[in-house]
Parts: sequence; C-alpha cells; structure tokens
Amino acid sequence: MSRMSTLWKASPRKVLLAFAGLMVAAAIAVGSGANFNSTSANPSNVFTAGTITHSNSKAGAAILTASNIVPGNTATGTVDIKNTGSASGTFTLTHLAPVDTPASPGLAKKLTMTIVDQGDPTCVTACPAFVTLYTGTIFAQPATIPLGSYAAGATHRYVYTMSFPDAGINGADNAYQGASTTVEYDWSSTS
Amino acid sequence: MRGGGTIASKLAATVIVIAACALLAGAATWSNLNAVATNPSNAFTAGTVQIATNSSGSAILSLTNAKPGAVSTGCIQVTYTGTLDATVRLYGAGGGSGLNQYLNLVVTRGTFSGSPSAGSCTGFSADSTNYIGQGAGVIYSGTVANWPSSSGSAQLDPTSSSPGTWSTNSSHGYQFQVTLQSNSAGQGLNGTQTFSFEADNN
Repeated sequence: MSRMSTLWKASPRKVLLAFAGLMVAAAIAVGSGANFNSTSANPSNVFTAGTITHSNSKAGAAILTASNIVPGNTATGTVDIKNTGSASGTFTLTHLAPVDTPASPGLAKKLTMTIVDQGDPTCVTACPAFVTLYTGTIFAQPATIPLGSYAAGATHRYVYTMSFPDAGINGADNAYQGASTTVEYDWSSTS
Repeated sequence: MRGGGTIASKLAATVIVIAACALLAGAATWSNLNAVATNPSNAFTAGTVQIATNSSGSAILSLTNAKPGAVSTGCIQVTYTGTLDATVRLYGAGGGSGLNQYLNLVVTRGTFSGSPSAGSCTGFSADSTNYIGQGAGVIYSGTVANWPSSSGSAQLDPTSSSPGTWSTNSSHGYQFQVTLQSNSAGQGLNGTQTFSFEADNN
C-alpha cells in the first residue's frame, strides 16, 4: 500500500490504465471458456409490398352505347378486366345512379341489362362456365356486385347485353320515345 | 441553460415526428391496397316516331244538302319528324246514318309546291306513279264506307303491297275527294268520316 500510495501520488493515470488492463484480461478469460460452435445466417430477408392494379380494356370509355333504339332492340358490349398487380385481389363492380332524360318514366327502369362473366377470354380447354352476374333493369342493378378473387395476371371478360322490352303494338311504349339514360360502371380491386 | 434548451427542443421535435409517424402508420392500416377503373357514359337513347298534318285535326271535306254528283275536295300535308324510319297507315272511323256507302272517295298522293294552308289544294301535284291502276297518284278509290276503319285493317302508304319508308322530314300531300252517288237511297242520310295517319317504326 505504501507503494501504491507512492504510485498514485506519482501518476494516478498509470494506475487507472493498469486496472483497465486487468479488466480486459478478465474479459478474454471469459471468452476463452466457449466451446466449438457454429452459426448460420439468413440474410437479406426482403419484404416488398404487393401491388394491386388492374387494366380495363375500355378504361375511361363506355362499354356499350345505343342510340335511336326501339322496343325489341338489343345491344352488346364487352370489357376485359385484368389483375395487373403482383398480388391476388378481390374485385367488385359498382355503378353510379343512372341519369334519365326525362326523369319520368325513366328509360333506366325500362331497359334491361344482363352482365355475364365469361372468364378468361383466352381459355380454350376446361374453361369454367359463364356466370350471369345480373339480369334486370339498369335502374335496379345492385350497388355492388362481388366478382370474387382474381389471381395475379388473371383476366375476366364481361359481356353486357342491353334489351328494350317490347310492351306490344299500338304505341304501348310511346312513353319512352326520345328518352335516354346514361350509367357509369366502376371496377374496384382490393388486396 | 441554452444548451439544455436545445436538447429539449430536439426531444420535443423527435416526439412530434414519432407521433406523426404513428399517425401515418395508423392511417395506412385503415385501408387495403386498391385500384379503381371506370367505364362512364354508357348511354342509351330511344328513337322517336312523330307524324303530323297541317290540318290540326280540323275537317277538310264538307257536303251540306248535297245532291247527286256533288263534290267536296280537300288536301292536307303530312310530315314525319321522327328519328326512326317508319311506315304510315291510313284509316279512320266512319259514322252517321248511312250516307257513307253512297259517297265515292278518291285519295291521291302527291306533293305541294309550297306551304299549303289547312285543307287547301293550292300547289298540289299528284305523284306520277299509278299505284293501284286508278290513275296517277291514286292510292284509294272506293266508297267512304269501305275506307279501313282501324289500325289493324289500315291501308299502308302508298299501298299495302308495297309500303313506302318515311324518314325524318319526309312529307307528302294527300287529296281527298268525295262525290255523292246518284242513288235515291241516300236521300236524307248523313255521314261522318275521320282520316287518320299512323306512323309505325320499321
């Protein structure tokens, strides 16, 4: 102690360094107690969000239009909806309220629409049966029609057929002369 | 103290950033990934069938206290304004006490050179076609009583065997002429007759 005291007095910094050296030596001793071991790693675990996008063969345009129609007329239009995202998605079909001119009696309440899901238009063998999604007046179409899940890359073809029912002879449908209706269809996909 | 204030403000800013991130993260969890496509303007318009005469529903023929051989002649212009091509039917209900069977009727189809007034035949020219073998433009020749009375039995214009097509703004003139037969059985009788034009889209 007399020497330590002497050292402390002579150089307190050297004393502290000596203690630090002892602590390092102790740590090395602990490390030397390990057995053989082995490790493996799984690096680069990358997480990328999927994309939900789809294409519409008539994006921003009408699927079908018909002018100067009379009772008994029909018109057909086709649209292809494709899941262009990287993930599967749940698709739905909605529509805005039809706009009738004149509002009454309302051509949308007279004209009927049939919407058929024909599935993949490129399918040639073992193709699933067509599915009729809706048949009824344009006005009464449900606000939302579920279309099911599309796998990534899947395409469905939808065929719209408009019909003007004929109520009979002698001007039975005269109330609809010159009437028009316009409707918008919207397609949504959700992960 | 100044340095401590800086650290405090940085901490506060960090807390705010973390809170904002938490809010954004919370917002992100409210919705799934989605996409929307639209097909607007699916429009459907019905056509029209519209026909009218220049007589406004008023009579174009009249015989009063007539004797055999008396004649009444009147003309009308019929115009089609519908958007759909159509055929036109001619018919009309008769009435009275029985004179119509003693009235001969000749209906001639033609054109007007100008804009005729109701009932007037000024400017009328018969079609050159001899539709039924009764002369140029004649589409009916018979008694008033035999004029078809309903749409179902109507005569098509100009003939039922070869109806014409009326398009938007088609216009034709028709001359109606009745002559009282020389038949004493018609004495004291009277008759009425309506002439109707009905357009039906093809």
